[in-house]
Amino acid sequence: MKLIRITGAAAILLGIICVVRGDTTTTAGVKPLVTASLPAGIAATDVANPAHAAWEDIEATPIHVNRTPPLYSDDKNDDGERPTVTAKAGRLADGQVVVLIHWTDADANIAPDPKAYADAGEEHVYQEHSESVDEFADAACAMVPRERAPHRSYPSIMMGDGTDPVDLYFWQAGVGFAVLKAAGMATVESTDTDPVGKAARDADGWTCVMLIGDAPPQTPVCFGVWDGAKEHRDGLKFFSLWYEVQ
Amino acid sequence: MAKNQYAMVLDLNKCIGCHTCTLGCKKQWTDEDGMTYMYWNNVETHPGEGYPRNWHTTGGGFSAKRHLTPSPLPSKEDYGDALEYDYGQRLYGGKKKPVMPHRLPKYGPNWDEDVGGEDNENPHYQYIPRLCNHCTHPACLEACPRKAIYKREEDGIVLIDQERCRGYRHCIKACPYKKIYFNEVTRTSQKCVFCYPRLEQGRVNACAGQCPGRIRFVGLLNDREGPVHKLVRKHHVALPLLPDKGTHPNVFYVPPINPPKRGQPGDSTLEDPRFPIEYLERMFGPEVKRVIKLVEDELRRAQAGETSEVLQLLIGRDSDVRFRLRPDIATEAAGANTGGPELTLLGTPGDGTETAES
Repeated sequence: MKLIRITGAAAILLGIICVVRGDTTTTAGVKPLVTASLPAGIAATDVANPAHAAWEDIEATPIHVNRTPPLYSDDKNDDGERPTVTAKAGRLADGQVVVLIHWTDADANIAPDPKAYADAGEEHVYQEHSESVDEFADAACAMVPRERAPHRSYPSIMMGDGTDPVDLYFWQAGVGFAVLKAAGMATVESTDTDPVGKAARDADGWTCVMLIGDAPPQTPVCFGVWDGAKEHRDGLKFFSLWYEVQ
Repeated sequence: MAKNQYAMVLDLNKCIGCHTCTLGCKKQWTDEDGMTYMYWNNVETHPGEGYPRNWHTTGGGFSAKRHLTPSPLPSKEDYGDALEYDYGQRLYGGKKKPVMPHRLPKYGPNWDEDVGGEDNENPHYQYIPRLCNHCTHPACLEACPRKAIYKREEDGIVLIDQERCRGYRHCIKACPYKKIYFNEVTRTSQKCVFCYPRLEQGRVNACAGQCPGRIRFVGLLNDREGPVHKLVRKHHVALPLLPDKGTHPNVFYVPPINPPKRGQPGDSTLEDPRFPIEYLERMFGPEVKRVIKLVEDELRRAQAGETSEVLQLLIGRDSDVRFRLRPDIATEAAGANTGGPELTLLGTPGDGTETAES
């Protein structure tokens, strides 16, 4: 019941934010995500490398993020810190769009690769174990409406709607990439789509490149970033409102 | 609300702390990768820290206003290392090394066995076997934003859909019994399934079937002919664990009736308790004294040559006394008439609709 109340309050809060900004129920005033055409001959797998030279010439768009309200009373309080998030978008010759997200995150929180008890002497007989029971991994996501076209109004920022479902391009440190789909809160499901992307760690934080598929100009896209050190997971995260690819 | 509710009663007076239940469960359910540290069933010594450490004081469940009161997640240190032993080298490798755990243990699922407590030079301890309580109001279910946890309508068993679970672990924080575990390999949360595949075949839970002390009683809480209904709803001699957490557990315990420290045979343990009553009340609620007195009265009746249904049940020598399973309830719930005993729809304890008899 409390979850519902908090979720309701969060929805109202987001609604107020959105009305003030005027960018979820209407496209007026939406910020563009600078999108550059990539030279012919470059494939998605090429620019999936965050260090690919093609990214150097694309202007970075600052992405404004806020934190979702806590779900439960014991969720860590918002310490006011916000990561600095930027995004770049490149359009391939076939019209598909690749996005590069960079965000600051002082600590790398990576889901460990479960290992057998190598130090027990007989690795082959020992089972994989669980040791990071109270740790959460950093993650990022780009959310795009299933309908890849300019939108007169946008799907709900909270995982889309039944009438306007979304695709989610998700990466989690130590786990990898996945393409998910959703049509509202608590409806996220896996898909059979093979993800294309790569992530890299630098001194400041993470850079993550994802292929988000066909995205004609003015297709909406928004971003989420999870900080494992702050116990972020599921709805507890930093999120942006909608931007539009160009 | 579930149409039926499988439940279990554990008579703590008969538990010898042998851990056969734990091993029966472990071999049946948690012998896979990522489950090494999981004990869907474990046996703890109390007073003690339990597993995970201090689960009984850390929080979880609901407040008086029915708000979730999640606790911090137990840490790796609260579970301790899941140890492996170099049996192969010692027994088959000819290395002649002593059998040793592969790491220096600092905590574990049976860390303080038989340590117990001491007050006024009165050492005391009590075994408490634990499993998921398959609560009537599961805090885990309410906490899951994925709706991955559900309570089966036909038998009230609480399960985690491994396809929907994404390992957020809100359920672990919400459970006041800390009986849900995170599997790092599958990246999902996992818990006791009350051996539902066995029950559906008419076979009792592995922990109950293996118990040498015959302390466990299994049946539907709403089956008036079953042992669980009789002990919980008819005779009121079994109590839930941490009832103040507001989840309405469906695993019940007959509190220990120790002989008094001093005095004559037949004196009540309440007058000179060997095990602190306050501790039992913290674990099982304010009804403990009433239950102890009731069972002592039944003992006296039996000693006077009268018949005591309570004691006959609790002795439970034969499995048909301890277990009354209904593998047909799934089809019955779907509307088929199986001709089995009539069941009464469940009520919520305390809401006036329960099927209590007196």
